[in-house]
Amino acid sequence: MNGVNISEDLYQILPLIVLWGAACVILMGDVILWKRSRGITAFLSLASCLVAMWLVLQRVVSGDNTSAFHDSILNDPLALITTIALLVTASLSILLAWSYLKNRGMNHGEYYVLLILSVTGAMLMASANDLIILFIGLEILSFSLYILAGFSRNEVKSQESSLKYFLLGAFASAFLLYGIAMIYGGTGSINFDVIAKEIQGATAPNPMLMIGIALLLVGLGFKAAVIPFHQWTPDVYEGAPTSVTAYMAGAAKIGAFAAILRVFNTLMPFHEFWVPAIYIIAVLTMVFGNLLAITQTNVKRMLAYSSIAHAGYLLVAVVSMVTSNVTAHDQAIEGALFYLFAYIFMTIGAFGVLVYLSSHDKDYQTFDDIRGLARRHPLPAYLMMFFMLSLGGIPPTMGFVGKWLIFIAAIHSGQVGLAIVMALVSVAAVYYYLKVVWMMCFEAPTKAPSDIPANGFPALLSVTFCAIATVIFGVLPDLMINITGLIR
Amino acid sequence: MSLVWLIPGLPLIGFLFHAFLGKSIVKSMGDANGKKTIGAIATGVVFASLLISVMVFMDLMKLAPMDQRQYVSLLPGGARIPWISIGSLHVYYMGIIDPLSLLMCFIVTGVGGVIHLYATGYMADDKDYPRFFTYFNLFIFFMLMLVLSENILLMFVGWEGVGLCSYLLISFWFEDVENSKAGNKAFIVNRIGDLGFSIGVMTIFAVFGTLSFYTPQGTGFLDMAAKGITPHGMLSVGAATLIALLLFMGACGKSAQFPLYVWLPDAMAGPTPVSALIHAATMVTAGVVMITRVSPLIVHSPIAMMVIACVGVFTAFYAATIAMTQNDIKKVLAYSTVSQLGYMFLGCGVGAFAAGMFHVTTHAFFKGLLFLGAGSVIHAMSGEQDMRKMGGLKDRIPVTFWTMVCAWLAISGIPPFAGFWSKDEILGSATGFPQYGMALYAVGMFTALMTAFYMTRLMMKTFWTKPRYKDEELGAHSSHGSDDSHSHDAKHHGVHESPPSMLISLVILAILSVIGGLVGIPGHNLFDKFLAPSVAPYPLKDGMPVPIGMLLGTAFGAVGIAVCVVMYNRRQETGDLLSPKEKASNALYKGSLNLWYVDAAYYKFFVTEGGKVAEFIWQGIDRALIDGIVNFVAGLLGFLSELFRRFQTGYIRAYAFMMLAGVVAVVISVLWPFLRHLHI
Amino acid sequence: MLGSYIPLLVMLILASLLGIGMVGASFFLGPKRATTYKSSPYECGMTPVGDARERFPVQFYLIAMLFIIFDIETIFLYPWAVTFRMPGNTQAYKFFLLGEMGVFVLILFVGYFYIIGKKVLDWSADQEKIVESEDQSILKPRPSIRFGNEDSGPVQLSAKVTENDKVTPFSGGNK
Repeated sequence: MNGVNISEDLYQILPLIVLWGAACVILMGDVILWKRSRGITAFLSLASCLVAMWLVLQRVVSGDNTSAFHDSILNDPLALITTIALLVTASLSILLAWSYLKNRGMNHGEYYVLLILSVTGAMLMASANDLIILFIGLEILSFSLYILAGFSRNEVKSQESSLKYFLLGAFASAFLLYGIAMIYGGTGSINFDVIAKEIQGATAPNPMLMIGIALLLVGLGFKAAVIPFHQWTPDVYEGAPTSVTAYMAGAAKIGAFAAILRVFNTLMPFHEFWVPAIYIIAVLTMVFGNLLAITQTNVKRMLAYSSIAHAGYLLVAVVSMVTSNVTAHDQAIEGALFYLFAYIFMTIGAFGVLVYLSSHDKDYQTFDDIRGLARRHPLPAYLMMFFMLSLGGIPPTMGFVGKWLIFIAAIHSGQVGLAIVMALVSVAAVYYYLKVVWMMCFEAPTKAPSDIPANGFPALLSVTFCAIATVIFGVLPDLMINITGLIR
Repeated sequence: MSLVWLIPGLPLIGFLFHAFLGKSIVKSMGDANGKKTIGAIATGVVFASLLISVMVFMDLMKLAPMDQRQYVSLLPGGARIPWISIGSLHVYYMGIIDPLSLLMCFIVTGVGGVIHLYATGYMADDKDYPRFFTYFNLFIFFMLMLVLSENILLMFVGWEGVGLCSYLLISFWFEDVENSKAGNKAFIVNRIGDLGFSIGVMTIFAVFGTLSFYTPQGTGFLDMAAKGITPHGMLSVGAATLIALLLFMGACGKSAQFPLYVWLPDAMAGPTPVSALIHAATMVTAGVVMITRVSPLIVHSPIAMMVIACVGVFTAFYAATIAMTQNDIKKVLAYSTVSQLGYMFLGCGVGAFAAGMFHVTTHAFFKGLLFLGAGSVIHAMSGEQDMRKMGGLKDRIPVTFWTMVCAWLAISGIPPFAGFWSKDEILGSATGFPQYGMALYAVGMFTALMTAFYMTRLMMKTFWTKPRYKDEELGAHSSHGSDDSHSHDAKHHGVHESPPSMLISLVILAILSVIGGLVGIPGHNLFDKFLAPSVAPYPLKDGMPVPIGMLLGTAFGAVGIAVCVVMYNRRQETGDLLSPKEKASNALYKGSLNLWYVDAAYYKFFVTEGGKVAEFIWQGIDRALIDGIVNFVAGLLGFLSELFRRFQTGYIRAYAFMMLAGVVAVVISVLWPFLRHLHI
Repeated sequence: MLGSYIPLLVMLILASLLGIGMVGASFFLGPKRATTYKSSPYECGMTPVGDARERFPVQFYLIAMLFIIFDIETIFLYPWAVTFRMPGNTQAYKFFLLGEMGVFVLILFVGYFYIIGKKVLDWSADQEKIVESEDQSILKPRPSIRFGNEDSGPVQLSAKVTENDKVTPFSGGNK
């Protein structure tokens, strides 16, 4: 007990401490010190995210990554890369929210605080090496998101989405917790290392452990929005303020997939039990995610289904992890991480364009809203077109490279069936992405040309950053892959 | 040598200049001054390229013959940057400087420059003057890329580029749909040849593993072919034949050989300088240049050589028969070009590559001159191209007449004019060809006779016989426009000599047509010696003794001229040998006049019948079947989407139920192997 | 093996019997004079049946929630104190534990100041002002909506259910 090296442990979670501290300070300051100037709040939040990112990058470069707090926190490459992705998501979302909140009449400092807190939760999930830490991280993430989803207090839809998310989220958390209990019952530990050792030495499968794994999958699958635990997604994505949707779509998915990758990597020896389940879920998610997106008439809803479909592609990578071929195994994880980055850039970009265009009284979201956009606001329209092409997986964008990496990984690990399904549904997916492009570029505008959108520079900056990243890493994917390799 | 990149670079700069600034210059400087500026720049860059070519030539001549193959970068500053680098395929923007490429540089920039100069006068009244010179400079650039490139792929880029310019310039007056159709015809027929070329390029890569002609290390495919090896062993005759025939297929398209010649006569729809530069002097000889370039490979395949020789001589003969009866002055020259190209291929086919290139050179002079002269005649006649409506122009446009005479004698093979020497060398070489050499020679000789005849016919009809037009009608005629309908100043009524810029060009080319052949006199053949480092040596038997050959050649030419002059002198009034009644009954005449019905057959078979097949594939297979399947799948997906979205009720209880069902399913799925274990 | 669970079973049976016995005794022994209030499930507080979308002062609930948080803090202090005084704790470790508790309390204090800053505990004085300064539209009656099924419209409920639209708050008041 007394052997804990406290300073070392604290050093390992320094980014988290920075963010937590910043959240406390900003919350106090917002209420007491600079009451009405949210610019300071937003700026400090962004700064704290960037500082945290700098700390993480420094760790990446120096490479001194150990486990902390009795192995319950592990800053391995997976954790560090996903942490970077999370902080990028948070920073971009803060920029998106900057003037959007003001214009939509919900400019409360709590927004930023909750955002920072939720990102710490997701970071905790990413570096959790312990089921309880995982659960705590998930709950920190979820609670903040529940509140953020209902942040637009004037809108019933926002309120309803918040409540839906909360009720179903609580339902899913219960399963997760139950699963953790079962796993503890089955292995006698909550620590992944110990569990891994336990199941490696196990002679016969333990049904209690199996049920635990199943319930764990349910809990994490809910966060990642995979079918059949996806139904909250379109409603919540549509109802939540668009800037929240952008953030939620990124952060929740990264956190969930970081956890899924780690948990199922740990449970590799029992793959014959859980692979069929994930296999089926992946197929269902890809097929139905894309299928349901086809008939949507609301861009936010459509993107919600698209994010479900992307979760399906990521699950393909998870299944492809299961192989005796070490290269293919690494390839699958790398593919998944690359895809996560691609996903956040193009998803935040796409939602960001909607944020940028939203007016004072209502969110910009239906197909009618974007009809003829290219003629009214060419710049956001072309940026949007770009994100749509990337989401559809058309070169030379990041979406294409990501999909390709996962595809290759699936083939190398022998999952040809999944690869084929993935390719087929990708074709169908192009339809609804291009429909947006069609609406923007080839349909006559139903609205009169309006002024330049009010959600000015920061949002545009964020969206442009996403677009540039999508191109650069699409043309030079090695750049990103090398960043991944730097840690190893 | 370090300036080589400027040779194609300057015309490219000219092209970019005209493309982006041309119109605004005409607008800002006024019509006349603007056009003058553009014409001066366009002509200037080409002559500057010629100047650099001469400088490079001087440098090259200082080297020993075995060193006369230099590798230079075509990028500024000698940068060696790959264009394509995939696996073992590396293609650089490199050029090769050797006698062959320099010779072609001279022809392209020299004759090209002269024709540019001519065009500044000829096109002066055209409203699309900048566009014309944009294409013209671009053509020069691509042509130089073609002849300079170090590898066959870059050559292919030039090859396609000149094809593009040819298409653009044939349909330059695109308001007339016939011109557009002619452009399309040229493009489409050329595609057939290009298919062969591109497959040939791929075959070369498959066989040799490289696309470079030569490399300093001796690893280019021609280096290997010269030694008869490939990276995998000996070069087989089969592989060489395949490559040679595929490349020859490309050459047939570009150089208008049978059966792909049909586009060239139609290509005369373009402005006359285009016909002179692209469809007589330079582009159409690209096939000969290419075959000469890969001659070390060709000589490995006797079959391919035989095919080339036979196709060449047959085309020469066949086109000459058609040229005998055509009435459009440019059509006669077009078929004459096809025929002369046949001679060049005959030369290549019998292994006398240098002789073929010699004919390319002299042909560039006299055929360029003939076209420019014809353009001058058309100019004088205010756009009239039909020889039946000409006559007696000898004294009305004397400069044009006398320069045309030089070209006429040159093509007819009268010594000491340029055409005589080159044609004689080709035919002389043919007699030494081991397989059926004498037969090839006989056909070639007979064709020479016909050539002399139809060219004399052209001269007689145009210049000597009695005028068959009235001066007053000419001006009125032009306003309606004709085939070659460049707009015309109202003040030019009646027959008139062309402006100085056109006449200077005529004179320069006339001088070259007279003396240009003297570099290749048998015995002191400087030309063959110059070209020797670039072409493959091919041992020919001793054929007919040279003096006899020369004598026979001269005799055939003279007889052809004499017969024609005598016959037409009897018909001074009508300028027609056959009466309308005879014309209607003479099957040979009708066949020749109607191009032996080949064009009609092509049209019937490929356009009408082929169109029906295409129509069926479009409507029956593509639209009904393939689109049907696609639309069905799309409809099905939409239907399913509508169906499954019903599950999204909006009720939390429904969602929770769905989750619960999912949980049960996942748990069962995870326990399934376990349960199975239990039962077994 | 299951023998160790017998006391549990006995306990379960005894508890059931006790419960049944007590309710049964009052049922049989007690007087039965039913009034409206006495028949309702709860005799105090709100009426259990009515419109769920009822407005009520939120402060009461806020206070209750805040009480729970601070209450738990106090409860958390007990095990901490026990651990703190465990024999064998070095001085340094004790400092660490003290620091931990300090952080914990600090976070609570942040919350506390936040509450004060937001004037949650201020019941009377600025209430009107707060409402005014914040979103006026909160006070407006809201339409009830249920979304999710895109264009297909609300699910058709059976006549019996739609009669009593209070059963389904989220679909209530369609059309």
